[in-house]
Amino acid sequence: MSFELETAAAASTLRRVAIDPVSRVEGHGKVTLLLDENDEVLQVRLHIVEFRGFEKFIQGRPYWEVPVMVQRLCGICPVSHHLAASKALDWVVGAPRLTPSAEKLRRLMHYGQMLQSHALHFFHLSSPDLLFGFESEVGKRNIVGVAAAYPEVAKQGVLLRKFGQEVIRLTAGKRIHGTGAIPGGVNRALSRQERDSLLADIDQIITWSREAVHMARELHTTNPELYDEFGTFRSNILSIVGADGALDFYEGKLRARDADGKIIVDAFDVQNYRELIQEEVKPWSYMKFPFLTALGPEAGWYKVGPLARVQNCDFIPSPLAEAGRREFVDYGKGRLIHAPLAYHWARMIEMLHAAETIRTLLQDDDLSGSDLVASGPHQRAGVGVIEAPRGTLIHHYHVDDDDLVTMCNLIVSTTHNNQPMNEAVRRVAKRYLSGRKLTEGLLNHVEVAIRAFDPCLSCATHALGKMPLVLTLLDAAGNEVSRLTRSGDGDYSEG
Amino acid sequence: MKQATLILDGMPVPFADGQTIMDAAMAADIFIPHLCHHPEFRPQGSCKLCTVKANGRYVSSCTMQARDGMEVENNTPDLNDKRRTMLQMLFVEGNHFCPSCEKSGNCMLQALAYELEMLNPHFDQFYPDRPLDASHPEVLLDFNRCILCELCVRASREVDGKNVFALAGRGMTKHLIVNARSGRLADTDFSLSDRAAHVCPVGVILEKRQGFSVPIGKRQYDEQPIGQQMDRLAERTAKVED
Amino acid sequence: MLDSNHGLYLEPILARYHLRPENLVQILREAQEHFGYVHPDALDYLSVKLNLPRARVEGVASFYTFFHLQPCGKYRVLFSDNITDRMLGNQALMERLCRNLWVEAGKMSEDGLVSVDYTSCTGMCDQGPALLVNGQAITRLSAERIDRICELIRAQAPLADWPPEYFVVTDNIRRSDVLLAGDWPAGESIRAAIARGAEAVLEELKLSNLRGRGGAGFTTATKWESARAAPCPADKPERFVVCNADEGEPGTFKDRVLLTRHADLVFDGMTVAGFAIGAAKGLVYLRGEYHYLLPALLAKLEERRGNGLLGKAVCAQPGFDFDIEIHMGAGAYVCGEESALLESLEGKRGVPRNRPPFPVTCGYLGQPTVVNNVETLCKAALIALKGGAWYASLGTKQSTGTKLLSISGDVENPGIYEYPFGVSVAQVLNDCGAGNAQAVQVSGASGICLAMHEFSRRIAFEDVPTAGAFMVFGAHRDMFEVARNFAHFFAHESCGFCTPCRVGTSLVVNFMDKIANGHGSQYEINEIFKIHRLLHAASHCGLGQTACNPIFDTLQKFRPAYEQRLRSLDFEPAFDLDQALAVARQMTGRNDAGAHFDAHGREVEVGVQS
Repeated sequence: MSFELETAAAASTLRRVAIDPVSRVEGHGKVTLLLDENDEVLQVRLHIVEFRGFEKFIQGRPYWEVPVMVQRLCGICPVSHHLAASKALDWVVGAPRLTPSAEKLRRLMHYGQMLQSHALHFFHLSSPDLLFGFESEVGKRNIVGVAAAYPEVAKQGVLLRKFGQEVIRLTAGKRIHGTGAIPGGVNRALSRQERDSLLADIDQIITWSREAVHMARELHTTNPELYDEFGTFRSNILSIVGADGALDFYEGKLRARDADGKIIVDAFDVQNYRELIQEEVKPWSYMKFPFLTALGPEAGWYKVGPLARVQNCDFIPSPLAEAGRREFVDYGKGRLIHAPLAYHWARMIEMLHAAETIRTLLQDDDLSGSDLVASGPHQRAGVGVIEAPRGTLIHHYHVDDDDLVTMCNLIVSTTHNNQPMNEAVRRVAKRYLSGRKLTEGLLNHVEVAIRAFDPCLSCATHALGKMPLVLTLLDAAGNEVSRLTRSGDGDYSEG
Repeated sequence: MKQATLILDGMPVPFADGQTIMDAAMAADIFIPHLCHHPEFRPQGSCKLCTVKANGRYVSSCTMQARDGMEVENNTPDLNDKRRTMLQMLFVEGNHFCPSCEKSGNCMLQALAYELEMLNPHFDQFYPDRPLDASHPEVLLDFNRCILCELCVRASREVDGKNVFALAGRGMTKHLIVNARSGRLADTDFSLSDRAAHVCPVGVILEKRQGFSVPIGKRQYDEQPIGQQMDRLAERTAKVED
Repeated sequence: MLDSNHGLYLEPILARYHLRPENLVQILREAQEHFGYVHPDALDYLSVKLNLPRARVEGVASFYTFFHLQPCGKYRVLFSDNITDRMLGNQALMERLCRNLWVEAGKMSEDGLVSVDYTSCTGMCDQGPALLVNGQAITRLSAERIDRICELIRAQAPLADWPPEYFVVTDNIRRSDVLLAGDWPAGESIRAAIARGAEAVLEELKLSNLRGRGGAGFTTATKWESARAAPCPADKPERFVVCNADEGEPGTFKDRVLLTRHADLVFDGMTVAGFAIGAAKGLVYLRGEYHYLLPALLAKLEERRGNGLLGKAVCAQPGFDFDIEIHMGAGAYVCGEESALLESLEGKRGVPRNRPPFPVTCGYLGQPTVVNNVETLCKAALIALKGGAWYASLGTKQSTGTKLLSISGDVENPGIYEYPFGVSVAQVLNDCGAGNAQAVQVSGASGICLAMHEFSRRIAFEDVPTAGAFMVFGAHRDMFEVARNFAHFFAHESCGFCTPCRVGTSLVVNFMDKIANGHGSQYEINEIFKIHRLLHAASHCGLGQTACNPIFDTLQKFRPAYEQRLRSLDFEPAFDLDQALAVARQMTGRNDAGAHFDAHGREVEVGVQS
């Protein structure tokens, strides 16, 4: 593993470039580059300056409020938090095994979430880079530009997302920040009519999802020099997989592979996650750096998310997505694919799987059942794990005898991917930026790398040019050398 | 004998001897916004949401006796403006975070805010520090949302005969307390079957572990605005009688 | 499980008050006098013995600011914080005392020796700055007195050993008219009333057109007649006379002087009222700040019992039994409102009642009750003695008789002035030596603020009605700070019963403080006007209805005092970035210009924050 760019010797003599803000939904991110006199990049860091107050202020609240409250962590994948918290609290109410209806309704909600989030991530946020090029005209490099150049692609992206949101609305009560899951089950079932309304569209959704897999694969395989190499680094991977080794976003046990694809941890019970994972603190970021305890902080970090999941499972339990997975695995020629840009391809395979699963679930009469809540002897703690769109999400709570939360620990996908994103950013900076005069297009390379992992970090800087961004280049003495400004209209100016 | 009537927003409204303006309005299915009033208990007149103009003077309709020929203004821009300001005062005085409140959709304060088109809290929040009391096995008290309507105080005293709740402090430090030296509900004789457990118009007195079992969208004020639920507001009386 | 340690001192108190719940406030006061504060065990004990829910006892104890539910200093020092005390420098004196004693305002010293805080006006405006130490008034504070007080506290000297001159409260009667100039032998007016007969007394009262001196100006005869005529159930035939001596309006101290100088006349007036309405019991509700008057008043009552002026067959009139009890208040301005006062007399939280019914039909313990101001009762006694026609010949047609004014502030001779109604403000200012007055606050914080162009107006119900306070502000005074002091007063004294007053008075304080801190704009002024209109319309009682009056008046009449503080004419955020950096500055020990932030690009004042 390469760490040479994280800390440069004699940093005070170097020039510093900051990309700030790289906004996140719940916080702030920025990238700093240190350059020497020859514009060689000597240090790169992705700083997440978010502050997760949730773990603190959830303390002292009644546990049944938690699934509704913690989903406010995120505006893109609230359902993931809603469900991870509910799963943790299922243990507290003595119901780690739900009724069939409840389990399927929650799964439907979650797969709707995967569908809408993946569609958003790929079509709205990443496709402008991929379709137009990283250094293309910045004013066009957004979803509006895509709509103009590729109207059918943009339309499908929007409608895929809309369908996913509709699944969420019907299962959670609202499109975002709903209340469908409660500790021990769910509070509503789907009527026959509601199921039919979704079934009416699902075949179209599956067709479009297949086309999306095709598009992602074509983008990757027609330009392998870029897609295979861009920011690529080797690492472990982590995700949950189903009991039979199937890809499963909702339920399973933890599995990790090393960079060569060898299974190093399997069937690990998530209730004991603290034995498997530790978190390291670094002085320059509010976000912790998790690693597999057995391997230590230097070697134990890992990727999560679609790229990890699609390669970690033994198979995908839906035919079309499974076919997509085989093509993907074949492309790797028996070796794990580590390329960050391959995240997009894997992501589309997952979206297709989500769509197929939704069709299967909608045909299941358990969705209209009335046995929705299970209960058992109360316990004082619970861990909930789920595969959120961006990766493994862990919620852990302690509850006292009075039903109030006394401890909350959340390890979110972005945190798992903290070290990988830093690594990708370093690779890209060294490969593309070193020794060159900085331009917006070059700096966008850094953001493309981040965006492959995490739409939250990148969405604001891609938000149709609404978010102003200032890049300042300072010399070793801290004097401003040049300044690059992105206005609210998305125009860049120098000076 | 001629039926005594008052004129409410231009409409003749009959009333019986001893009825207040609120009583008369409710009997005639006319909504006067209110929070501390409940047909089952002795009127208190503290929230002032039910302020109307009777014969040109501002009065609390829940405590003011109706009189024959009385001209009462209720649904006017001036009065609704004042009511909205008082709602905003109640919102900033406590900690009312509707998005994660389990009473959302069943909350009179929230329903009135919708009814009176309150779009924001307007004033700076006071952010009082009001710890929860979760000591009782069946009931949670979240004082953050208390609007000091004293319905629980009255229900516990008048119906349950227990005096579990009382008010302490004064002015902005006024707050609800329970009848125990420890200050804990568990150390009182309170029970979930008490009338007082079911009268809180906001989210203070909550049955534990029920939280979000009724989905958003299926709650009382999701169906119809509060102003069109006269039957249910009046029904609250019927419940106790049977 | 009752704590017998607390029983030891509580039992005699409970016995003295006949184990009656309506005496709860009195019992709590005495319990605290004995133990230093109201201990949780004492609450338990009282709850059981009085058969009251514990929460109710706690609710009452926590309502009154003079009751402490936590340990407080052996010496409890409360600085009177009326605007007149401010003008005389009470803040610097309090800081001096705190510094000397190493104690923080609002907290008890670590050794438990002393606690220091502010309290609302203590009624010593003519001889301030003033404070209360363990309930005893000390007047005419100076730096020397403060230093000596610190020594006495450090030496733990009992109050009895403190210099007696500190506790001297002078009457400062500056102008006397029919009431103050007279010599009124005890019982004379009672005998006159008995000679006239109850109905004739009411006729004389009607003829006199005496109106209540507490401020509202309700006709006294109507009150008495209603109480006399109100039906009573046969098994509960009692009627009551209540003397409202809860003189809490900032700037008022006339009742203090009447109770010092003419206590017999006050008691005569109560007895006459009792005779006229058929009451056998009178209650004086004396504000806690005047506790120092209690021994003399109790002695006076005892003397009257010895003289046949109280007790069975008063003045040898068969069947006319009448006695008087004194109840102490405990630091709650709202109890000056008559129905809140009755609640307090009944041992409850001093929250104004819903009316109707009015006290004359449903008052103390639900019985017909006359509640009259101290001064009103004195005047009623005079009318019983000298007749209504005599009284009506004084003053104006609508405002008969005389009025006692409590004059303080920027005047040469502060004190009590008795004038026939109708006197002009200018005349009063001239008499009391107010050389350069720019404003007069008449009738206290809830009254009216008059500017110079209004000084020709007259003191009378038909022009400028007043309960007696008359605070004069010289040209050098900042009328904004006057209004801000009153805003804080009302927020502190709001009982919290109704929404608009409870929240509105605190919102007004925040707006006024924001303006004072230099972050105000026209926005805040508009908001204050809006709250003023709301409070006026929707508040439960007079406190809330009048709470914004002083701000409204000063905004109308002294607008430059506000505008010079406004940062802009539209909106300013309350959040002060520079102020938010104060902690960081403190931690880094920096205070240079670079450590300050000013969003407005103006010069930032570096130095001590006031």
